[in-house]
Amino acid sequence: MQQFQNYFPQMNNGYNPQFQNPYQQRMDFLQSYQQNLQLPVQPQVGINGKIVPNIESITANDVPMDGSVAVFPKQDMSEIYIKFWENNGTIRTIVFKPVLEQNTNNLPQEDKKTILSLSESVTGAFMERFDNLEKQINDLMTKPMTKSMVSKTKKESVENE
Amino acid sequence: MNRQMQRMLSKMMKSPQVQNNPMARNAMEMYQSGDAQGLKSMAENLCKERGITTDQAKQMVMGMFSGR
Repeated sequence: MQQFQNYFPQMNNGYNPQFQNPYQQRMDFLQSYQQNLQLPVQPQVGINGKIVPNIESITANDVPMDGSVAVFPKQDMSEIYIKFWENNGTIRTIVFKPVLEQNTNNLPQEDKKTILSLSESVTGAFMERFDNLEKQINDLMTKPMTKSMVSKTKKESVENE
Repeated sequence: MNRQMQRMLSKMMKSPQVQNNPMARNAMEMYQSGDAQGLKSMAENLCKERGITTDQAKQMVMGMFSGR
């Protein structure tokens, strides 16, 4: 340390005692920082977040940067947003929607539409498959019939001879 | 001084604050591996999420030091 102080003679002349060696200042800062790091981490009590009127009203400052998640229930309780910082510096949002009852009548209109379109597409695929099967069965049915008809006519012709 | 920095970084990496924070851990890992592009990308993402540009963020940081 003495060797560093010699490089700053103006610091040791007593004119301004509050100024220290910059190296010493940095060392003090590092030591205090290290001491702070060694402090035990308090376990998180409760959850972060608040009730919000809509998702747009949530700002980046509302999401803690300590690695924990924040919970934002919508005012009308129709959705709950979970937000947290990802390791690449972006905020990830997960939206939870309530399932009110088993009855599909309670589903929102969009969900009903998806169910309807899904069922239509599924029934369409089934009907196409059924049509194919029906055609194949018809083909099979006609082929043996023609064979048997041919064999019958052959037999008849032999008998006649 | 460099050794002190390394010791400090090592302690920071091992600290629960960093270990429990995916973003801080990723930043530290990128710093240690010299992944400047990754750090830049993270900084840009952070600025974007906060609704500011990187230039505005630089000005804010510089403003912190100009008063002293």
